[in-house]
This record gives sequence, structure tokens and C-alpha cells, in this order.
Amino acid sequence: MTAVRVAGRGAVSAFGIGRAALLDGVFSRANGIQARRRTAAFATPTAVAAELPAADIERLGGAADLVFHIACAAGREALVEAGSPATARIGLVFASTKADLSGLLDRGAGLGSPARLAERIARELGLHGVLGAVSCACASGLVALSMAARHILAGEQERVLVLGADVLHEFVMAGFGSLSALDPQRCRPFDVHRRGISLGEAAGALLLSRHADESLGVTLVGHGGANDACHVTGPDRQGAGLALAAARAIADAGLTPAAIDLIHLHGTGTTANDATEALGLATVFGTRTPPAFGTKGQTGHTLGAPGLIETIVAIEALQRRLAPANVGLEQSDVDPALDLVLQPRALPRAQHALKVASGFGGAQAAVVIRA
Amino acid sequence: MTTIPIVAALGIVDRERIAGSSGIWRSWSSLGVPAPGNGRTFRAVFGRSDETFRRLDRLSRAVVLAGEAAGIGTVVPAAWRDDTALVFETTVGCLDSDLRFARSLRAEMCDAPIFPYTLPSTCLGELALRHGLRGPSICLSTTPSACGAALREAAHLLASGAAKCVVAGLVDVLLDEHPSVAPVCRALIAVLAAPDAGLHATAQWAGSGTDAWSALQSWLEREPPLN
Repeated sequence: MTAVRVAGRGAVSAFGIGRAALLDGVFSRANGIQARRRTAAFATPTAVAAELPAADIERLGGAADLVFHIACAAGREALVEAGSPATARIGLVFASTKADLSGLLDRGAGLGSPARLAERIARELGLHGVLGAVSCACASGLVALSMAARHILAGEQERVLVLGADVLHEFVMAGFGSLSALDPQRCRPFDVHRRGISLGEAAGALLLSRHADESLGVTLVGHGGANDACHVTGPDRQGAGLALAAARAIADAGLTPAAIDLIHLHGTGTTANDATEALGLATVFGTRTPPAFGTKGQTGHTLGAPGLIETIVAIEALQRRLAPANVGLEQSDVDPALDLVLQPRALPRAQHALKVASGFGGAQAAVVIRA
Repeated sequence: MTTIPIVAALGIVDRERIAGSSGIWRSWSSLGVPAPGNGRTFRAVFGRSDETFRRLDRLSRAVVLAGEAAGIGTVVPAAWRDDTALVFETTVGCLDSDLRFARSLRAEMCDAPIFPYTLPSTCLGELALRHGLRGPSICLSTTPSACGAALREAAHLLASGAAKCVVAGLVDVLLDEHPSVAPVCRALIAVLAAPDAGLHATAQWAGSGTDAWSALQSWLEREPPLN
């Protein structure tokens, strides 16, 4: 695949509004997963969640319509970083698992439709229109990035804003609780004592461009997708689907695994997902992977947003030549071939990062980033 | 994009029937159950069991039945399964399961088994695991004005070489009364491949515009396969 340039980035997360807040939080080893406040009344078996700071929610317009506000805020930040290009010729690809859930447990018209929300966001940001609204569970963000890249490479679009957003809602928190998938306390991805995920809320945005002069020095050079084809909620026991997606992305970039300098993991904190992710990556990389880290132990699992906010973190890690630590990890029990970063580690070479994601329905996705 | 895909197979489940280019053509009235069937429908139509069909949500039932009616199992060569993608679009999404799960929450009887089906991509997983399809999976939420998006993305995947074959689908199922969404039951599946891939063309590619799915459905209705 020919490269697609990254021209702008934006984020809203438990660390606050803006990409800088996200990156400062991640690289300082802060933890956005805190005792539940706004969501305290939701009946769900965990004491914690990665909620957006209350003051930031007020700044953005309040808790009502929150997913719309954070998506727009992240999108605006990405457009500003790109020099505020004319938006009328920019298409939108939006990623979300449940988007706006109003109308299911309360009043409203969101009805969990990413497409409806995407149209509102496109209008608000003055974009040309919606190229697609992706709902591929927790792989949505990376699937959206790859879809946008294909539109650019096919010559159909010059610039595409890719947005991912999801917010905490009783519907989702009760659902994951009913599956016994939540850690009662802060999640600890890859740790021997991990007990499940911590949910979070966030929005991430990347403006992709075909124009070399608009690049921030970062390009998306490879994309891969796969399906486990074995179970709709559990992973393949050997991580075969994730391995297939990762191998496809690396090959699409015209690289070999030896050229990958860093992995940003999916790393949810469930026993099965972390173990199979390690096995799958060992299949691709052999006896030792490149330094690998995840950030859901700090941001929570933000469902449709991680593909975007974690790609932003991976880009930053390449640019700083520094792999952040896996927060919450003390002792790993997954395949030792996975080189999990326990303390922030300087990277001797930092050109290519692999970002991977998995979701219900067996969806697997991977992207190779060059900086 | 210069590649014009061929349509190797079609399958449909709607309020009237299950039908497809595999030769299946059964009306719901003849089956004695409303669309998209009950736990016994798979065996009743296809003469063999499906161990987990009974527990599927209605969206997944419609997709699995339409896939069988299209004959995915015979049309897509076994050697291609790793490189066969799934691209679906839905307007209603999984509102049917969302409403069921929401009702269970209100009743304080959380219906855990239905929760995974409150993601529209789960029905793709059900199809993937039945046929061993390990290519990229893409589920698109659309509005009626964007109808055809899955066909467009499928063509992109074929043109870019990311897949040898694509199972594309349009699926919308909502049977319960809802104040703002009309009841609907439709799953339409098209098996697509590059023209030089060697698969036999069953129907003509109708583009990826808003009327493309309707054109494919019309083909099935004009040329009903003999059973």
C-alpha cells in the first residue's frame, strides 16, 4: 500500500480535553481510571471507570449529548493542527460501537446508530459528508482508518477525517457487567492477577491526507484485517485472527516483522484476550516481539475510540523514541515472547509501529505507522 | 477503481421468503413461522442441523439463513476462505436486540446472552465462523441515503487486493413496534469476486449506488432459481 499521510490529530479522554492531555497522562504513567462519579448510579459490578473530568464535560456543553460534543471537539483539534483546511471537501469516516444511546433507556433519538450521529457531526464540522460509519465493536477505530485510507488511495478523496467516539452509558456498563468481563477495580492488562476490563470514554481523531506537504511526518503504510471465525465473543485460542491481521498489515506495508520497532497492544485486561493476543503476536514475531505496550490500564477501554487514541499514542511513542510502560502490569503470565514494557524504555530505532485491535464478532484489525 | 466485481451468488431473507441462487426458495407461510424463523428453521429449510442457530438473535438468524440461501459454502472455494472478507451495511442496526436488552435492564433481569448481539458486527461473526471466512470484517451503519455502502467498500477491498472474495450484505431486522422506526425484515447477501478470479457470474453487478441492492433483489425475483 502507498502511504497515507497523517495531517492532524485530536483527542478527548479521561485525562481531559486535547491530545496534549492524553499524551501527558499516558507518558507520565497517570491513571484516568478512578472511582465512578457520574456513572455511580449505574448498576454494574465495578467500582471504577475512566470518566471524562466533570469540569471538561461542562466546558464541552454538559453530559447530555456528550458523545456528539467530544467527537466534535476531537475533530476540531485535528483540523486545527492540520492548519484548518477547507472542510467542505473533507469526508468523514466515523467509528463507534453504540454512538448515541439515547432513546433506549431514556428519551432521545440516537438509538445507538453511528450513522445518525455521524451525519450530525459532519454537519457540525462543515464536512463534505459521511463516507462511512463503522461499527465493528472494539476494532471499529482501526477498521475506520483503513477504510479511509482506501478511499484516499483510490483517488476518491484528498482528505478524510477519521473520528472514533464512545461514552459511558448504563446500557453498556450493565452489559459488560453481565458477561463478568469487568475488573471490580482498575484493570491490569497482561498481569497475572488481571480480572477483566475497565470501561472508559473518549474520542479520537486523525485527519488523513494524500498530500505529502500536509504530513506531520507520519504516514499509515500498512493495513490488515481478519476474522477469528471461531466464536463471537471469545478470541481464537492461539490468537490466529490477530496474527493474520498483523501479518497482513506488515506485508501490506512492504515490510517484514523485523522492521517493526514498537507494538501498541489491544490489551483489554481479560484473561483470554491478553493471553491470546500474546500468542498471536508471537506467531508473527517469533521468539521475541518488539517492545510492546498498551494504554487501556490508563484510559480504560473506550470501545469505538481506542483505534484512534491509541494510534495517536503510538505516533507519539515513535516521535519521542520512547515506549511507555504498561500501567497496572507487575507480573505477566502471558507468552514470554511478548516483550511487555514494565518501565518507560528508550527505543534505539523508532520508525515503524504496529497497532492492533480486536472486537466481538471475531473482528481483528492492524495498522502499521511510519514516523 | 477499475475492477468491476462479478456477482457469484445471491441470497435473501425477507418477510415473504428465504431464497437464493443455491436453489432455495421457501415461503414463510409454507414453513409455518414468521420471518426470520425460529430455532427449528435452519433444519426445516436446509435439512441439516446448526448447533447454535437456536440461540441467535433475529438479525443473525436472517444473515445466516440468507448466507445459506446464497450457497456460500459451495460457491466460495475452501482455499479462498482465509481471503474472503465480510462487508455488511445496516440502517436499523441491532435495534431489535437493543430494545430486548433495554427491556431486561428495566425489569432488573439483565439478559446477558443477548448483550453481544447489541453490536451489529456480531452477525458477521456468526456468518464467518459457520463458513470459516477469515478475511477483513467491516460492518457499516448507514442511513437510507447511503444505501449501497457495503457494495462500494467490497469493490474497494477487491480492487486493492485486500480480499479475493467478499460476502457483502444488507441487513435490517426490527420486528417489535417502535414509535420512530418501521418494522422491517430483510437480509440480502451477495458473494462478490474480481472478474478474473474464476468464479461463475450468477447475476450482473449493479454498481454501488442507492438502488444497487434493489437491483440485485430484482434479479432474484425475475429469475427465481428452481428448487
